[in-house]
Formats: sequence, C-alpha cells, structure tokens
Amino acid sequence: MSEQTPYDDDSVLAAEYVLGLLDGPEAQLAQIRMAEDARFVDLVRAWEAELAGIAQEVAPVDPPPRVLAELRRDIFGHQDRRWWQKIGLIPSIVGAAAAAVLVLIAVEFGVLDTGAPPVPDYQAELAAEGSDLVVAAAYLDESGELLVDRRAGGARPGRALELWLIPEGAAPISLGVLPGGRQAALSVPAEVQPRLGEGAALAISDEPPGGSPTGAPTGDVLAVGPITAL
Amino acid sequence: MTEQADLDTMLSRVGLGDRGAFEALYHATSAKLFGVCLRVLKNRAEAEDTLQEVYLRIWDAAVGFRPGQASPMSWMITIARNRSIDKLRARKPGTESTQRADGTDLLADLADDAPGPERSAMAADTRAQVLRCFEELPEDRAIAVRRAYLDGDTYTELARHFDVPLNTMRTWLRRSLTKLRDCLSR
Repeated sequence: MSEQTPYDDDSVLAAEYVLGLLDGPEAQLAQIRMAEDARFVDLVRAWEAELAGIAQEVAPVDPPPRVLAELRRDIFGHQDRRWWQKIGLIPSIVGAAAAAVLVLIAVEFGVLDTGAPPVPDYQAELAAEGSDLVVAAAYLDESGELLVDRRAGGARPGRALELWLIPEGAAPISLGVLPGGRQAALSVPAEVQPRLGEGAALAISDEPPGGSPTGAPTGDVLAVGPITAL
Repeated sequence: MTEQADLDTMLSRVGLGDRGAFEALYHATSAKLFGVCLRVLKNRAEAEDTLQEVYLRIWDAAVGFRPGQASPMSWMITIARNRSIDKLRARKPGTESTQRADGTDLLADLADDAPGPERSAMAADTRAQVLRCFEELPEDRAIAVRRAYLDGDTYTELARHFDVPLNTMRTWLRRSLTKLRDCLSR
C-alpha cells in the first residue's frame, strides 16, 4: 500500500481546508480554488456547517459586560459609518438625473394633476453588489406618495419583492410588496411618513408571494440605498 | 435555546443595520460563541477580544447570510472558530510548531473533548450529526478531528501528538474524513 492515500475527491480536500490541516502549496492551491471554483466553495460551506456541530460539546460561558459595551461603541458610536455603506452601492444613477426621470414618472402617474409638474422632496437609488436589481424611488411629501421605478432586474421566479423603509438605527417598516409592473406609486401610511427622510434608507428584499410572513425581512436583501433630500 | 427561525430573522435584521436585532442576537448567542473562543484560545483576555471581533464581523457580514444555505448558529460558530484559530496561530511562532501556548488559566474550567454530562444528557435527535458520526470512527480518529477543529492542530502537530509518522497521520485522517463524509451524507 502506498504511504499516502490519494484524495478520493474534493470533499476530503475541502474538509482538510476547513479544519486548517493543509499547509504549504496544498493550502495555497485550496485558497485559489476557493476564489475560482464555486463547487469547491459549496463543499467547504457544507463541511463548515457540519463541523460546527462539534461546538455542541463546548459549554457556553457568559462573556463579561464590557464586550457588549465596546461593541456598542464600535458599531453604534460612529455616525458616519452608516450601515448601507457596507453594502457597496452602485453609483451609476445619481441625484439630479434620477430625480428628473422620476418627475416624469410622477406626471405619467398623474399623482398631481394640478398642471405644474410635481417636485419630489426625497429620492433614493437602490442597488446592491451581487444583485441585478436596480430601483429608483422618489417621495412626494405633500401627497405621501412614493414613486418607484424598477430600472433593471426583478423578482425571482415565484417570489415577490418587498420594499422596506429603514429609519436610522431602527427596525425595517414594510412599505408593501412591489406590483409586477416596472413602475408603481405606493402610498406611505400617514404614521410612517414622518420617518421617511434623510438618515433613513429604503431596501428591497426577496420574499414569498404576498410578502414577508413575519413583518420583518426574511429573504436576501436585493437592493438598498440611502434616502437623500432634493 | 433560541429557535433557528428567530435567529434567521435576527440575522436578516442585523444585515439591514437594525441595532435592536443585533443586541438580541448578541444576547441569544454570545455565551455559546464565547465558549468556543475560550475553548480554542484557553485565555480569557484573548477570548474576550476575539469575541468582540467576531461580532463586528457578524455585523458586517450578516447582509450576506443566506438563510437557506446554513443554520445561523453554524454560520456564527464558524466565524468564531475560524477567528479564534487565526488568533491562536498568530500567537504561535509557526503553525508547524508543537509548542502550545501555555495561557491555560481556564483549561481546568472548560469542558474538554471527553464526553461530559451535557453531551450524555443531550437528546439523540438534537445532537449534531457530526457527533453521532464520530461514534462510527475509531476513538483516536474522532479525537484527531476534534483537535484540528478546536485546537487548530495541523497534520504535523497531530502526528507528534499521536506519535506516528506524518504520512501515516495524513492517511489516517483522510480515511477518517471520507468515512465521516459518508456517514454525514446518509
């Protein structure tokens, strides 16, 4: 029998990678495959999930209060580190141009039929890395209408897109499921209107048909963007 | 223990920057993750710092968590374990070294790899499958996998621990991992 057992398949290599047993060229090779080989990544994720079960044997220990206190300072202390900055917004549609388009949409919808074109008070552009969904939104303070224009992407098959208002530092509030069409005008409930403004954000999540059953986002966040004043 | 669906919801909200959800998640999971950090690092001060880094990582990475693909607890345990192992290895002069760091002030208080009361009392249906599958391996092989996972042992360190040649150790463990995979996929 040879001294060294050849790999049966990638699964064993993935396990060795997860356990950190590899070193030298083997470790480098595995690292490259993590970057390039989606199937290998899946094997690694599967082993990670299984091997995490080992931690069931580890007794829980309450950490000292200072850890949470320092986390609060780290995470919540910096007002400039807004959460959507972590997501990687696509800055392809910006400010004035998006607003101009949305004014046209507003006219199309006849949101205000006073003759003068309505002027949105706030706007947002929603997008996220790894998702093809791009949505522009404009808000008219006077009528409480949120105009939504889906520029690219859409709901996954058999799923719905749900729009959320996320006031700064607070839990998301559902603004409803987006209708199937490209454009929509949603009425923002009166009690929610005061919370829609700068510092808040809009987000769209992947949800079952009819929207989140829990009242909070349950699926992937497909697009997100900060609300800015016009 | 908090239900998985609750943790899924908490993590989704954390992904959206919900501070309240972050605190709820912390309260529900920090004792387990601190236990993991302590078990790996065996040093309270280091484990506390590491736990803080782990939750910062969770705060940043929660937006990428996919509920369908992993249980939230496994996902967080993986972050805690990997971060702790990284710390452990940074502390060691080199991963090939057998010189274990001796900051073992908490070792005595911590559950070791031997079956403890918690394990034996655990209902069969809630026991992790990997632990059930360990029973199908020769005991020293299961210990070797545990040591790699919780102590960051490399092949070299395991070979020294079990006093076998390096290649024998590799052969052993690769076979054990194949067996483990077969058991897990049943």
